[in-house]
Amino acid sequence: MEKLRTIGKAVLEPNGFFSLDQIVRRTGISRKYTTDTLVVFSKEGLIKKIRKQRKEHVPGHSAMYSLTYRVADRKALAQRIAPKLKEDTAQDKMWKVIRYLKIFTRSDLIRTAAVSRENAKWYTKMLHRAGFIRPSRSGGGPGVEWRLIRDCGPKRPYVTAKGTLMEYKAGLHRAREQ
Amino acid sequence: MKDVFVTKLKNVKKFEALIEKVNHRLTGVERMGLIFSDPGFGKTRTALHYAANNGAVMIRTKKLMTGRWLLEEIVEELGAAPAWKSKDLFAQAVQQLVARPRTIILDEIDYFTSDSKVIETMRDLHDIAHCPIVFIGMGQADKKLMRYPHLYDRFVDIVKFEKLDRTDVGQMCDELSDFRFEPDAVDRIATESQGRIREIIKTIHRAETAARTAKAKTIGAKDFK
Repeated sequence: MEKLRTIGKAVLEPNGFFSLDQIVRRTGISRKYTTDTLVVFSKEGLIKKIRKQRKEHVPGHSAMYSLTYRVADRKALAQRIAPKLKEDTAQDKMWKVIRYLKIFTRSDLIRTAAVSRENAKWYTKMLHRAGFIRPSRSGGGPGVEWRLIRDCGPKRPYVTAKGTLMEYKAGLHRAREQ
Repeated sequence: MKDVFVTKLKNVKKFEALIEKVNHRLTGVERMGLIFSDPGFGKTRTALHYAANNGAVMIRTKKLMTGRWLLEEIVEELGAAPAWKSKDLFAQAVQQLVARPRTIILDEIDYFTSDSKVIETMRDLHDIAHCPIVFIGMGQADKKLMRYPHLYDRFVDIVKFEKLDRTDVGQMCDELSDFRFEPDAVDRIATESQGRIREIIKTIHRAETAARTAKAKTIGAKDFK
């Protein structure tokens, strides 16, 4: 899954056409695995093969082709390579409330999403660090209003191995790390 | 003040009853509901509390919204990447709702009462996907929607959120405050707040601050400034 995600990210990076060689060079993953992955993406309608040129024949080797592709559906591809998230977690509830209210306090989260104070505190802190929300005033304290400044859609940002938050649409956006 | 959602209010119970009515398993029975009231009685917060804790989709409609825009938002909230064509968008919404049925809650439905296209699109979605749809509107929303008899007939329940009465205010004081409120204090809050939740919470908060300063254990009407 990690290799597939790497290939998917490499495919999403350029805006336009890409070739098999480019992806192999960019990812460092074997040509065979990359070809298989791109075939899977093609079958799922995420990318489209548009050209198949014959390359120079190297004596003693089977014929190699330079395949050219283009991304057919960027959003769907980004969703395909994004990690699978658990649903209906406390984070999901809080994210839903935040997206709806846009401006909120921790009390709003605790009341409406029915989560603990510690959970709400941790989540707002993480979202603030990752640049998703901004407090109404610096210094903290009770009654601080938070404002959603980066809405990445209904799928909540997920916690990476580094402990930072990352947008679900991996490859389209990058996490802001502090 | 405690951060809890007061579920024992009459309006919240009415909302829960409506949700139960639209989430039935009967065939041939409609699954649409309407909630309306003047502002400040907790419609949106109650619906958001339900949506967040039960996986429902809640969308705040906008004045400029078209049928396509609304479908796009619904599809996105349902977890799919919205298609380009309106036809595909509708198919996506139906597909998502059939695969995993969820309640759709549309807030501020008053904006659409003059746009038959959007209203009829929601009716189509309900009829084809058989998904529960709850409309939330302002004071006259029921009268405005009466103009669409095909839609109005599909409402299994129409709920009007009322002003919070003395019992509700007492319930809120009990559940939200760390202090005990005397009956005369509850009466005064009920009268002064005019049954509006925001006002009630503000008054409780103010009374608590005064009681804390005076190191009192109970709050009476005389403690209000």
